[in-house]
Amino acid sequence: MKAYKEEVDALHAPDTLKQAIAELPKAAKPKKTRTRRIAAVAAVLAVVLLGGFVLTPMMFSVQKSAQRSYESISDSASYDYAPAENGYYADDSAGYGSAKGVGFNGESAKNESTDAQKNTLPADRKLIRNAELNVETKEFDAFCDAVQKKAAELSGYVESTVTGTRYSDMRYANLVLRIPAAQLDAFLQTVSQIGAVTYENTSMRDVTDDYIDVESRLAALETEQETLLDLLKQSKSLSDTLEIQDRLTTVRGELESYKGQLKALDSKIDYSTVTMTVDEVERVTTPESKSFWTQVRQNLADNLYSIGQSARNFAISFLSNLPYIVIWLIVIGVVVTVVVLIRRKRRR
Amino acid sequence: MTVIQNGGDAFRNAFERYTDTVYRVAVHNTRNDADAQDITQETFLRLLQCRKVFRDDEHLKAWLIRVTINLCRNHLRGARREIPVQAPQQTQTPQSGSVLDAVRALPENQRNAIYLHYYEGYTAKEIAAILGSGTNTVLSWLRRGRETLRETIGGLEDESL
Repeated sequence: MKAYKEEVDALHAPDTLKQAIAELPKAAKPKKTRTRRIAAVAAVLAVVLLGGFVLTPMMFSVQKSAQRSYESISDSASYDYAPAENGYYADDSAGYGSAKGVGFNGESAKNESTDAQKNTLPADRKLIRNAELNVETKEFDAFCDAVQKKAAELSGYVESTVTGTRYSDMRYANLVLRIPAAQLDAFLQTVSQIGAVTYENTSMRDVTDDYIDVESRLAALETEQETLLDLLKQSKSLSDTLEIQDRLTTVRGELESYKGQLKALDSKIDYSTVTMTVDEVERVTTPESKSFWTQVRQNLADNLYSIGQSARNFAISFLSNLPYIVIWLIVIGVVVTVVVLIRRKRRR
Repeated sequence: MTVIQNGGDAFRNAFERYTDTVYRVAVHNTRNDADAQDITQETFLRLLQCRKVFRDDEHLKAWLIRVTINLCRNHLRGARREIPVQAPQQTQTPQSGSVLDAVRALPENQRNAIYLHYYEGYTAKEIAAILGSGTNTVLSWLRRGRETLRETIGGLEDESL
């Protein structure tokens, strides 16, 4: 024991070593492991949050702007086509169109001339009035019910309904309604009261000339039919009878065809077609004014909203994917443990 | 409370008081003096880099001993992996009747227990805390260490615990 103590006592760190240790503080820089670890965790978090909060709304906004630009294209397209339509029908009828919508830069487009034209048009003109609407609503079911009820109330009817769900779990419906032409304005007014109309395009086609043309052809064919019937009664030879009957068949066919056309025109004139796209939304798009600050505020609110939405979506997807995450963590844990064990074994 | 700051008085104090202790632990756990010196230096480097708050000097000393033992263990592992053929056997027979060499030839745990108990004067409980094991385990290391020493050099006098 004593010998051991003496031997250990004799052990002293050499002076060179002491010198080197004394100089350590000058050379050594404090390890930044903790800082590094925190930085790494922060980086990972940042990436996850970036992925979750920024990319999603970016994609969302890209999609949205694409959708909006599409809307604006179709919006302007309706302007471009309106004169063309006029030109196309110039020889026998006149077309009138009006469109109003909310573009993405807040330009509220309206063509008021139609109303003026409508008022100056003689009452006996044959007009086909159609409307195309995009409507946003928070209460999807209530809105659709109300629209259908209103249509029934105005003695109109629903021609077709397509409902579905978009990627964001929001529902949409494409409705085609037939509303008595006289009630169209009342119907559109009701829709704009219960929902937020983001796009509205009402068009009017004057088919008076078409109508008169068909009517006169009908009258001529009827006269021809009567004449042929008279001739048939008077005919004495078999060949004449056959020839007259042959002609009569043709005339009857044409008569039916024109009657059908007239019926179709009547239906189109009496009942306006309203094509409506209903979108379920959590926030209604409001028409923006052109004021700079209002626009900034609106866009800021939009972006904050979309950040909130994507945070919510992220939380939902994270929580709903928890089972997978747990499975993956287990798998990764097993792999890491195996690797560590193998490395340890090799070391030994 | 002692906080080791970069080059402060606390570090100088630790260095002045415990360099020899650290060096002795390193000598017990390495094969040559150069390694022991490297480990000693590395231990104080670790002390500089750690931001641990020490309750008192005893706490600091215990920490230094534990770190030194761990560094020696890592060093031996690395050395064994690098030159497995040329590495000498850890359990060597003592030469020239030196008790220190006999202790150094013991297995790691027994050798550290013997050093900490007979030289540093730690109790079995304190040794258990430093080496991270149980008191009974430490007692059995000490017993086995003594038995081996008795066989090789006739034992240590004054073997009381």
